[in-house]
Parts: sequence; structure tokens; C-alpha cells
Amino acid sequence: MSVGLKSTRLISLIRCCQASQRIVQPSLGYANMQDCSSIWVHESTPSPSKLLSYQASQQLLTVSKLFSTTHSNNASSVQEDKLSELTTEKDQAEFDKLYRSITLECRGHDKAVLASYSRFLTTAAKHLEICVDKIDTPRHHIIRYDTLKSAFVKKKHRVQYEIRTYFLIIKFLRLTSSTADTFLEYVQRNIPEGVAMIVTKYIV
Amino acid sequence: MRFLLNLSTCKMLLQGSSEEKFKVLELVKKKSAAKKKFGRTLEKFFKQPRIQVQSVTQDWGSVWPGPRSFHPASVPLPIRMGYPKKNEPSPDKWGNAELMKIPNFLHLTPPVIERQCKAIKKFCTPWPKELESEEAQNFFYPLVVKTSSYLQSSPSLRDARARSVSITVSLDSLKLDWHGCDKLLRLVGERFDPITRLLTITADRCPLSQQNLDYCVYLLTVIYNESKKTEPWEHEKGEFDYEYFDFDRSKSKETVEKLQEFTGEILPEEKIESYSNAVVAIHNEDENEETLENYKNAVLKILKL
Repeated sequence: MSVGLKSTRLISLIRCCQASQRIVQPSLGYANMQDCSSIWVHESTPSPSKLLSYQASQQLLTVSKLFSTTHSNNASSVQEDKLSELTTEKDQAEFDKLYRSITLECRGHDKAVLASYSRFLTTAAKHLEICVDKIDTPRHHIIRYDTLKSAFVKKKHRVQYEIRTYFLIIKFLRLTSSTADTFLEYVQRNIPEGVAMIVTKYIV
Repeated sequence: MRFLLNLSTCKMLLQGSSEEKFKVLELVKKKSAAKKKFGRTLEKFFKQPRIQVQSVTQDWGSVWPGPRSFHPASVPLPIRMGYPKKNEPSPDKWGNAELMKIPNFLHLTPPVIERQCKAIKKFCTPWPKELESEEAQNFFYPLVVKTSSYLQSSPSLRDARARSVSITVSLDSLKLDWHGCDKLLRLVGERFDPITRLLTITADRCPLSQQNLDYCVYLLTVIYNESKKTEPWEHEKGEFDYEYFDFDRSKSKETVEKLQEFTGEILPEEKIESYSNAVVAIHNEDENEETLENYKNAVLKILKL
């Protein structure tokens, strides 16, 4: 069973938060925005003192205070048990980030290429067990130019050019960072020529 | 007569006359017959296009392992592409520039995709069951961070738009009282969407996305803390400044209290409530027949008429 844990930064962070008697949002052992300093601190084995001295920790504690809930008491005790289990089991493991959704917007000049690519994306998602929420193909965008055919005079004779951009928007739901990194790398390595991609991640 | 002894005659003599092989006398040298070289055996394959030689059960993923421009002799499909000439079908695949220009997906056939996905599946991790529903996600993680990254074929990897970061929070999850909510909405302005009740803070003023993220969190913290505070000058707000009609602060309530003092009786709460509702309705909603009728009835009840 691969849970996808990353470093024990989260655990030591929670401990130092608990030490200062602040209630931390129940986090189920996954890194989230409230633990932003744990994402940004690039240390393999941080000590609580190091974390506290980091600039963002003050913001972190106020942010975590924002989301303190009274009914987290039961949850936090359960979390503590779970976390203590996890630390004993996998001390060097890292935590996955969680993505609520990832939207891929592909743009190209050829509709057929985008259609094939969309088929590839959905097939790959199906094999990797990623939920596909929506596939959208908004109307293409056209830029037209009207230019003179000849370099000199001949105003009546023109040439018209057109640049069409076709769009493909696919939304995937509920990805862990391991799954997302794997899927995105695979998909981006196989992107066809002349297709651009915008990846929008909604980090939980 | 001299007997010429050479190797061949010796051999013949030794072997006896069982093999009656005599070299044919060639006065005019003929061209030697095709020598059997190693490569020559495969000539029959190279003389024909691959499509006529490959088997139907071959592994196509090995034939076309990566992205490649279309090669008509290797692809066993009768594809035609392009605008047809008059009274002619579309041009066939042999020497078809259009077919060669367009990117093809022959390296990503369904069995190949399945094979490759199976190979990379081990790097994926499952989504936690506890966070399957959106309510659970909103409960445990009310803060959502939105980042974008851009992929395009250009000389540079960078894209200036990637530095923009957005934070979204549900107003209800901030657990502010009425005053806090009101103050926060005033501070935040257009960043609040009343339909979804989501507060969105976007930052792109810093050069790096991490810095922008820090800034967003800082802004949220500051706004939250400021909205919790009540400044002394906030009490200086007069009744004419209020956006809504509050019965408790109004003259109507004073009038009712004076009436109670005058008559010496304390009116039952229901009558006062109906009166206050009627007055509030007139102020906050339109003055229509219904509200005026309610007001009339409420006043009559208070005056016991």
C-alpha cells in the first residue's frame, strides 16, 4: 500500500504547534496550504527550532489558527495516533501534495491533432485511474489579416491570411502530487508538435 | 612426358576415379556467378516495401517506437489525404507532403499507451478515501491555491504568467461574526463572490510564484485580523450611515416604549414583534399594498382598536 508520504516536516511542525498550544487544522497526514512552510523548507531532517525561525512560520501559525475548529478535538487525537504510527513506520517518507483538480488547456492550430491528443489524454487517465471531469472544446479563435499582394501599388489585389487557434480543455479531479507528476510528465513528453499546454493546479 | 604433379591431380589419384570431375576448359573467362555474401540473402526484403513483408501479428509498438514523420512504406494503412484533383480521388500516401507534415500518433496506439501506463503506474499514489467528496475537501482544506504553468515550444522555458498565484477561501469557513464579515467584505471589495461565497485573493506583483503565494497568505492573515478588530471610530457611525433599517436603533421603537410608559401597560411581545416586522418591511422592501396593510394591522393591534 503506497500512501505517498513525504518528509516528517509536517509531523515535527504539528508537534511544535501543539507544544505552543495552538490547535492545528486536522490534516490527515497530508501536506496542505496550512503547512506551507513545510512545503517551502528544503531540509531533509528539520528540527522544530529551525522551522520556528523560518519567516513564514508566523503566518503559518496565524493561518492555522484561522481554521481551528472546536470539534477537531476528537479528530486531532485520532490524527496524533495515526501520525505517531506513521512516524514509527516510515521516518524518512515524504508527504504528497494534494490537488483538488488539474485543468489542462491545450491550444493548437489543427483540430484533428487536438482531437487525437485528447483521446490519448483520456486513455492514459483511464489507465492511471485518474477521474476525468470535463472535456471542453470552446470555439476556435481566428486572427485574419488582409495584406497587399504586391510590394508596390496594385491596391485592388490583396491576399488574406488566417490564423486559427483551437482549444481543448480537460479537467482531472483528485490527484496526489505523485500521480500528477507522473501523469503530467508522461503526457507532456508525448505532446505533438505545434500544441501548447497550460496546466492549472488547484492545490488543496 | 613430364607428369605434372599438382594438388588437384594428387587428390584425384588419392580419391580414385569415383569422382569424375574434370575442370571445364574455359578459353574465354565468363563473369563469375553471384557470390553468396551475407547481406545478399536479405535483398528480397529490402527490394520490397516493409508493408508487404511485415506480419499481421507484429508488435507495432516496436516498429514505431517514437514520434516520427509518416513513412508510407512502413505504415500498412491505405490512407489518402489532401484536396483531390478534378475527377480524381484524394492523393494517396506515397510521397504525400501533407501526410508527412502533420503530426501523427502512430507511436501512441492504444496497446502502447496501455503498456506504458502499466510501466509508470507504480509511481502513482491513490487519492485518500476520506477526501472523496467535495464537502470533505472543503471541511478539511478550506483554502485552495491556484497556480498555472505553461508549456510551449519556444527558445525559453520561462513564462511570465506562471508567477501569478490565487488563493480561494470560503467566507463561512473563516467563522467571523456579523461585524467581522461586514468589515471583511468592505476591505475586500470585488474579490468576494456573493453567489459562491468565496473570497479570492490573487497576487502577481512579485517575480516568483512562491513570493506571490507568501504575499497572498499574508494578505489573508492581515484582512482576517483587521476584520476581527473593532476600531474606536467605528462607533461614530450614525443612523443615517446605516445601509439597512434596524428597528432596535430606530425612532419607532422609542415611540412604542413611550406609548408603554404613557399607558402604563407592557404590550405583549407578539404585538411588538409584528409591529417591528411591519416597519422593517416598509423600510427595507418596497412600500406596496401588502406592507402597508401589515403596518396598519400591527398599529391597530398595539392601539387595541
